[in-house]
Amino acid sequence: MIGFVLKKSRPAAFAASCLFKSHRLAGLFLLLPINAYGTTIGGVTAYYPANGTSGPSKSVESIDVTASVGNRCGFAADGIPAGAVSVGALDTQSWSGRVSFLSECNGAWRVAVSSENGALQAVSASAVDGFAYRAPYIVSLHVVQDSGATVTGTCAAGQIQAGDPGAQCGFGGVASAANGLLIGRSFDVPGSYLEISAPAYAGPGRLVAGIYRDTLTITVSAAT
Amino acid sequence: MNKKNLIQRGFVFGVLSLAAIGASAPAYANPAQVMLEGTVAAKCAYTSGDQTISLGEMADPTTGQLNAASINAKSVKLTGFCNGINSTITVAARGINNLSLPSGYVAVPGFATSVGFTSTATAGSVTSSDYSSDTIQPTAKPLGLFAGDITVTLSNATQLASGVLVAGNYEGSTTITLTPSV
Repeated sequence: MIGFVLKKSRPAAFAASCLFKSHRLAGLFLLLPINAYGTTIGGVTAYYPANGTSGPSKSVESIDVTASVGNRCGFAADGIPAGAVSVGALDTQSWSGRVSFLSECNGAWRVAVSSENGALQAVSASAVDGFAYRAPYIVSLHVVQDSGATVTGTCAAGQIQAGDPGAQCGFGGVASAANGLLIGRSFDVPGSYLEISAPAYAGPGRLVAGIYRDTLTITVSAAT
Repeated sequence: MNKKNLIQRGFVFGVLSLAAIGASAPAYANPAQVMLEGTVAAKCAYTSGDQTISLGEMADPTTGQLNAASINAKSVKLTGFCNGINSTITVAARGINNLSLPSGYVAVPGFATSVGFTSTATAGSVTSSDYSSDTIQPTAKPLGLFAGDITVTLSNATQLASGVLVAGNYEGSTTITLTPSV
């Protein structure tokens, strides 16, 4: 969000004839019609002295212009961490995957990740003695800042499970000014990614055969 | 620049200022979602190797005929698992036959060279069995998710011909097949 505030101060003895010598006053018209001609343009009336009427040599008027640029933070249109990652067999081999992203944050910001299931979970299975239907994995963030430095964080998927009050990790939940991995300004700096990985499942129990899924939700927020 | 020009310029500036105030930042995609998908293939495996049941002397020392007790109730334990919910177990028994007979041996009345038996495999609450010397094809029984011991027990031992068992080495087998399926 961008906003402008215009402040105007004017000497008590204001000379209309000199008003328009100050270009900074353009657009602001609030003058008394003293011995002057009037001209109306677009519904705004300006006054100036009649020909031959003398006035002050100059009139200086200062206008303070203050502006603010709000914090903006999000993913670049061509750098959204989205899509599907197929990680292959969970029980016979280690696996990993990367999802690159491009942030556009014009100040300090935070990033958070939440896992729908807290693990890769079998689509159609339930707990059976001797078998498991949830495969844990690790989520890592690697974020490159404008400075070139990289901020990293690692959480187990089980520590960032959505809606789990017991889930505690540095970047779990939803990003806000106070929650998430704190990152310095990073605007269109390439090289940031989210990485997921796990060794071959080693127990307890054995994984039930089938398809396993999880969904990671990545949110960003300005830090202030 | 004359006064009129200044007035016009000021007016234009005012319009641009209002436009700037009204401008909004572009919308960002936030949150973003990444879907993960992995697989676990259906598989069955034994964690124990092949086992041998040693029957010892099968013939009754007095009659020379089969001593069924040398076979019946003999058992062995296998350990394995199946992680597919539609896994099956199949038992196939092959009769105990004399391996010491010469090629072209012709059966002699009053002597026997083969013994039949039933093999029963128990995996959890599932039981499957097969008789070695019939023509019925073994059938698969639903096993589902299973991990643990499979007990294989022999029973119903019977000479396939009347008479005295011919001396020699005898060998039979039973095969327990675990078939994975999701």
